[in-house]
Amino acid sequence: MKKVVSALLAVVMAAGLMISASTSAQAADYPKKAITMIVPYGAGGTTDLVGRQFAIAMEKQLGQSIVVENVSGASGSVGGQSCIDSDSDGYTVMFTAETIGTWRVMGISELSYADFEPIITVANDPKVIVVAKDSKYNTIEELLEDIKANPNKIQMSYTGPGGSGHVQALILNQFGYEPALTAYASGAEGITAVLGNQVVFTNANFSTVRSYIESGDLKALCVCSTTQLENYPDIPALGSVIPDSDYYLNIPYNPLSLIVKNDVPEEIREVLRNAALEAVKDPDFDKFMTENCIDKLYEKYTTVEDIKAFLSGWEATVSWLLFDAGATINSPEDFEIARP
Amino acid sequence: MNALLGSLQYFLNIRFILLCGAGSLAGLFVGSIPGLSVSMATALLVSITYTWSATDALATIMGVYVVGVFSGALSAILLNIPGAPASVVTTLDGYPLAKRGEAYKALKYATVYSFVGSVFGLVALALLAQPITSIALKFQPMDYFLLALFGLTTVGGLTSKNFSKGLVSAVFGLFFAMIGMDSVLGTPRLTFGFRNLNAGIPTVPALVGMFGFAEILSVIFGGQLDATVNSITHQVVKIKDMLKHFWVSLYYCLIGTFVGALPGAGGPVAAFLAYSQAKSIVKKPSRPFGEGAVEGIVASESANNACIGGALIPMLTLAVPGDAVTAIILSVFYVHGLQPGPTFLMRSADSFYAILGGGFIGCIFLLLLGLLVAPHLSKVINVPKKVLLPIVALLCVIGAYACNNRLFDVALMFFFGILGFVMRSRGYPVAPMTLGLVLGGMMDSNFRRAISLAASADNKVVALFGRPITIVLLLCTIFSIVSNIPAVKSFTSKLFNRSAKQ
Amino acid sequence: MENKNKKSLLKMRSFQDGIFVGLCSAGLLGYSLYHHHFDRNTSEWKLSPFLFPVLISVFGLLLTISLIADARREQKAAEGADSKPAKEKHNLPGAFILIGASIVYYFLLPVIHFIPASILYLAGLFVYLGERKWWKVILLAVITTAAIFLLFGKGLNVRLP
Repeated sequence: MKKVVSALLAVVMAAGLMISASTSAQAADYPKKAITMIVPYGAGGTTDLVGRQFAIAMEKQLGQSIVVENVSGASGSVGGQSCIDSDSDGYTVMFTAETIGTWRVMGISELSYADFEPIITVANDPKVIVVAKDSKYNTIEELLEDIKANPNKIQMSYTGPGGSGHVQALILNQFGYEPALTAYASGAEGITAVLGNQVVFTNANFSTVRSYIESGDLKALCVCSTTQLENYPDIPALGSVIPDSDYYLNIPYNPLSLIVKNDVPEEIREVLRNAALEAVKDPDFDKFMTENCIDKLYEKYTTVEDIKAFLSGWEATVSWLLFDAGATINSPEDFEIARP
Repeated sequence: MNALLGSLQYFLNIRFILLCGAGSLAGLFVGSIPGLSVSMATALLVSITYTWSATDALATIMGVYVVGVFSGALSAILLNIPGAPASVVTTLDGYPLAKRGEAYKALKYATVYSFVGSVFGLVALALLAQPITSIALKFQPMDYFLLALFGLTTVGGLTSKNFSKGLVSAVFGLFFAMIGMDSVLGTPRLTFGFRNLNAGIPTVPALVGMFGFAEILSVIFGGQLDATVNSITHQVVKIKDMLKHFWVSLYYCLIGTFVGALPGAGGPVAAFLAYSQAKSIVKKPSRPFGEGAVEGIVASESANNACIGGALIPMLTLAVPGDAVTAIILSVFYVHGLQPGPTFLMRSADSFYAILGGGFIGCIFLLLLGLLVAPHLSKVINVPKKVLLPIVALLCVIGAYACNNRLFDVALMFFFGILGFVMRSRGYPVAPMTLGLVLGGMMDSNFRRAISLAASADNKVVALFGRPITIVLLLCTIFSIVSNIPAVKSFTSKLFNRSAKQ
Repeated sequence: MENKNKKSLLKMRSFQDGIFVGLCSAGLLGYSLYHHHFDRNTSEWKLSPFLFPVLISVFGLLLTISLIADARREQKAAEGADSKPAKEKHNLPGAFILIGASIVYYFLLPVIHFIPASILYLAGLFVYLGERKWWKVILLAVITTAAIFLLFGKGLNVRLP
């Protein structure tokens, strides 16, 4: 994937140079060349999809191209490291999902949200539980009952320890449901595992399974949230099925944010932030978000302080959830993460 | 059928054809230079087509893809450096032929059968995308693992007279594939603290080193600098001779398309399986396999080009790319707002037709370019070694660097060059090692997945091996190993001799 | 020594290779077991990153046996026949010079950049491989480097070292 990007980079850089030569220099002088957006996951996943759409909307605001680079591997930490290794000139930004918050406790990387500055928290892709069309389960209650009756027997595919699918499984564990987990390389492969009857169900991002639900290849049993999706009122919410689960289900578990290294100058972050705030209003982007039923988190967390508070709260909740389940290598206490 | 007819409209679209032709030229050029592979060519193109309309972009990219896969055979035949893992098998017979001064013939066969393979794969994509998808979905992690293992065991027997030497090479390939962070938990394995190794051993630098740099070393080591190659004989390749292999090549195409449709297996496995089939089907090759049998080129090229259509199938219907190139094409789709998935073929029929149209027009360009360029390219082999070798060495360096822009990859390339050289001089083939390296990661994750799935089942053995596909693959693998054990071999040959005498 | 022609097992190539493969596999096995037990606090094999390396090392150990068996067989076959294989002419220094030149090139690259380093590397190899006309050496080296730089670096936007 890197070579794609390097090639991309070179082209856009050349193009960018030409453009910047012709247009009058802006006050801040940033951005005067193409920006690289690192997506620390593979092509085709939710983060990649939303990131690319967001990049197109941002391009319109910044007047420079944004080159999306998929640097996947190790729960996103390979991409995170390559963002940290880049220059702090604002020409490398990262569009990432939530795993940053769990790297340290999972022993994957030394990095955490503290090493980055958030620009904007864009979206949360709702999580849905899906089964194959010929599955014997037709409602979430049937599935949950069977999991309870047969702990560690009902198979579920997920994207590896510390990922959002894992967190969802741990939430089920909190209420006495123990599915048997098998890790797949990407969300898309986890879905094919359900389609091919390798596993019984998976907890997928809604935007990646929407077309399967519409084509009837997958049955959506529930939305892992306290509220139903606006466009799909017949899919029940998990919160209404499991009592007292609001505390866990209220948090957006898959927050996608645009972040930069924490030593990128204030003025540059300001330029990016203003562009991002305009970009989310872009009609095409808005249409994309609405069609895929993605939560618009930018409406919920409007200031940088809000975002930071949200992210650190998220980090604490999920880190302790993972720790209590015995899934972590390190204790959150080692990193001074207070129990929520 | 609709899909085939729908794709025909593009044959009248001049703009479409021109763009596809431009893509084909780029594919030919980039693909034929050692170290610069098809995935690189598509990657370059993605950057340019970013802002184009979807149809224009697809025309160009399909041109690059189809011709690029073929042109890997050019450097494989002329220089013994496969441009991509899929062309590794072509070197086995292509290079010996070129050394005999029959490069022209080898190139012509490669061209024609690449054409056949590509067309076959695309037709399968047009007509059978849904059924092939549903078969591919039946493959479970254990099946992927066994398929890869089967591929490796056949390679052991194919490329070396000594079965165990072939397998040793394959095992070393697997070993190198283990280096780096594992794909599931992100634990660094065998990196010994080198951060550069965390991302694993990249395939292209290793390939370029093991074939390209090792070849240069062997030539210098063997003192064959002045050995001039038999000057090129421009013997006419009779069309009748050429088409003799057509029917059997359809079988290789079938293997290619199907293996291509299994994500992760792809070109190299298809080519190796087709080659091993060729070895058992073709009783009287024009020359012994491995010494310049055109039948080997036919098998390898028709299978690896048939993979194109195959690899596109899971990408379009499941959004799971079948190989490195389709992974890049997938991101092109997303950039243009197309969303592959179960409804793609119906909903975005226009884009689907454009892919097919681009593919078929690309096939025609492949045939034209191949036949026009081959006679000129085959002169490369006449360039004096003392001039050619340093240039190839430089190209190896560039190829290794360009794929990740890391100088570290150049060092890896040198390392694998020396390793490949040592292995060759001790009689170990390097082809199984490349296959092991390519398949290692996929075997690892699928093996663990299989174990993990079985762990929750009541009867673990049934869960692991209880399905028909798995049993067939397991039997194939066991047969492939057992039939190559020397004691068994001599026993069966005795048995046959006795029955022959009676 | 029943037979003078009988080669010592230690000198058989298959045997040496077998020992080498065996040592590598044993090393891998040890490494995997060690790290499986000490790196992670989970001790479940089904998810362990070291499960597959263990399998590879088992393959390796089986192959060791096979290679040593090969050596035994070759040894038996070699009894009787005392013809030594004709030694081919080898140019080991040449290979080392190429490797040396490449290493020098590798370290020169970041220091003096692509174009000068490549010209030097090419010219050096041309001279070593027997091109004696100096103008030809320089011309070829410069033209090749320039062509690569223009075609790849500028034309195709391939990153050069």
